[in-house]
Amino acid sequence: MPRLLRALAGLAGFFLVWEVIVQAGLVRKEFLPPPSVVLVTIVEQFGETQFVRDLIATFLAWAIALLIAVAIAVPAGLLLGSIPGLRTATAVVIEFLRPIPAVALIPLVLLLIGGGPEAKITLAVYASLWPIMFNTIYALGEIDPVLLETAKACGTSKFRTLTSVALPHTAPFVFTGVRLSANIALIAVVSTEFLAGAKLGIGNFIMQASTGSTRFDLVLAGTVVVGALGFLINGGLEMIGRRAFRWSTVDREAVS
Amino acid sequence: MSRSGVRRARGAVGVALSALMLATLGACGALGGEDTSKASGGEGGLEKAKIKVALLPVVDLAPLRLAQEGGYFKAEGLEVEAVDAPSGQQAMTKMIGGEVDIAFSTYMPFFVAKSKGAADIRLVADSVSASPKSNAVVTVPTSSVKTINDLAGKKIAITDKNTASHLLTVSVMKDHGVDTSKVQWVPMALPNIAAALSSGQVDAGYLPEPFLTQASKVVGATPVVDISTGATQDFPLAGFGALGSFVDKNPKTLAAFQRALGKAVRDAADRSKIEPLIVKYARVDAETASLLTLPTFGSTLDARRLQRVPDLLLQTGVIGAKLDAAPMLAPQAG
Repeated sequence: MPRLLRALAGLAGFFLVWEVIVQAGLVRKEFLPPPSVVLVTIVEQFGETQFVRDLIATFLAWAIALLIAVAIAVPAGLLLGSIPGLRTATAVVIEFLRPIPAVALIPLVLLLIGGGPEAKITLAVYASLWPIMFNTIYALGEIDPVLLETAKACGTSKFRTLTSVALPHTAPFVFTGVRLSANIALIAVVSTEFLAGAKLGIGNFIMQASTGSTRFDLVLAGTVVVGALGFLINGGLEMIGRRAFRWSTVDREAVS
Repeated sequence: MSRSGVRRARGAVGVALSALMLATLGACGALGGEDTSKASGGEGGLEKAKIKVALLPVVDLAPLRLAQEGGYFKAEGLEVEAVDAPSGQQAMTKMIGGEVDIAFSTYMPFFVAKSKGAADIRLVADSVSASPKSNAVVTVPTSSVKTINDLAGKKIAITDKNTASHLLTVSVMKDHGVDTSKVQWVPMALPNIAAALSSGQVDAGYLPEPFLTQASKVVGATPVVDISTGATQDFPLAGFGALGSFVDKNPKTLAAFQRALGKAVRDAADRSKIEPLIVKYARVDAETASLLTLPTFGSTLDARRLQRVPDLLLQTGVIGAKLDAAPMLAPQAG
C-alpha cells in the first residue's frame, strides 16, 4: 500500500516538526509535551479500562449518529430531490438551519433532552445530516434522463424507478456525503463531550485532563487519538466506497 | 452501469450498515447511558438506591472517590454514578436540569443561584475548606509584584469573575488594606495560569492545588499571600448541593450518602490512601500528587461556618441582600 505509506510519512513529518519545536526549547515541555512523550502516554492509556471505555463510547455514539443521519437524510434527500415543489417550499428553512453549528445547540439540547449520550448523538445527527442530504438531492438531478425515460417506457412504477434506477445511480454520491459526514459527526460528538461533560467519551477525557490537572500529555494523547480515529474512519469508508462503487467515477471526481 | 456492479454495491452497503447496527444494538451500555442493571431499591430502605452526582476532576473530591472505590457507598446500599462536568457552574446546571441528583461545586454558584431565585438549592454535604498553603495568590520572579501591596492596579489571573478565586483574592487584599478597585482581573483556565505568569501576560494569579505545586515546579511561582489567612482563614470552599425537591423526597438516601462520605473523609487523613486517587481522577502526575498541600476535607456542614460564604458575597456586592445559610442546609447525618 504505497499510498498509505506516503500518507503516514506525512504524519511522521508532522510529529517530527512538533518534536523539534519542543526539544529546541521554543515551547516549554510542561505546556506542550513532545510526541515522544505523548505517544508513550497513549500506549499507557490503552492499558487503562477507563480510557478504552471512553474510546468505545465515542465510537458508538459516532456510529449510531451516522446511522441515524443516513436513515433520515437519504429518504429526505430522495423526497426533496424528486419533488421540486417540496424542495422550493423547504429551501428557506433548510438554509436557515444548516449554518447553525451543532455546538451552538448544546444548551438547547441539554435543556430539552438532557445531557446523556442522547445529547451528543442528536447533535452529531444534526451536524451530519446536511452533506448526505445535499449529495442525495444533487445526485438525483444528475441522473441520465435516458435511464428514466427507458424505465418509463417499460412501464416501471414511480416507486420502482426510485429504488431500482435512481437509488443505485445516486449511491456513490450519497456515499461521498456519508464519508464527509462521518468526520463531521465525530467532531460533533467529541465537541459535545468536551463542552458539556459526559459520563464517558474521549471529549470528556480531554476535558477532564485539561480542566482538572497539570498533565498536558493526557490532553494531547486524547487529541491525537481522536485524530487517529477520524483518520481510520475516513480511510475505512474510502476503502468500502472503492470496493462497492468500483464502476463509479464519482469518488474520483468529488473533492475527497 | 452493470447490474452486477449495482448488486455488489447494495451488498457492500448492506453489510456495512448491518455491521453498524449490530455494534449499536450490542453495546448500549458502553455508551455510558442507560444502565439496564436494576438498582436494588428496597434494600436498606433507601428511597433511591442509585443517584447521579456531577463531579469535577479536582483534588477536592479525593474522599468521594475513596468512598466509591472503597465500596463505602455500597456498604450503605447506595450506588453513586459519576457524571463529569467541566466546572462547578456546569455541574449545578446539570442538577437544575435534572440530569443529576447532586452536584459538586464551590459554594459561590450555589448561593448566587439561591439568591437570584434561580433554583431551590440545598447544601447536602461539605467537601473542602482552605487549609494553609493550599490556595494562594502567586507571582513569578520576573513579575513586578513582590508583596501583597504591589497587587493594586495589576493584572491578576482568576478563573472567572465572582468565583472563589476572585472573591477570596479581593478579601485578602482588603484585609491588607490594598486597593482592589483598579485591579485588572484576567479570567483564565487554571492550567494556563502558570504559562501566563511566566510569559508576563499577568502579574499574579490565584492558584489552588495541584496547580500551585505545579507552577512552583515549572515556572518558579512563589506565593504572595496565602489565602487561608485573616478573614478567609479556613474558608469553606466547596461542597455538594441538591435541589430542595430531591432533599425532601430522599432523606434516607441523603443520610446514606453523607455517612459514606463522612467515613471516607475520616479515612482520607491517611494520605497514602488518597494520593493514588488524586493521580487517577484529578489526573495529576504522581510527583506533584506527593508534594501538593491538601485542603481540609470535611463532610458535615455547619450553618454558622458556612454563613461566611454569603456574607462575603454580600460584602463584595455579588448578591444584593443578606442571605441566610441555615435554611439551605439539608439535615446532616452525624
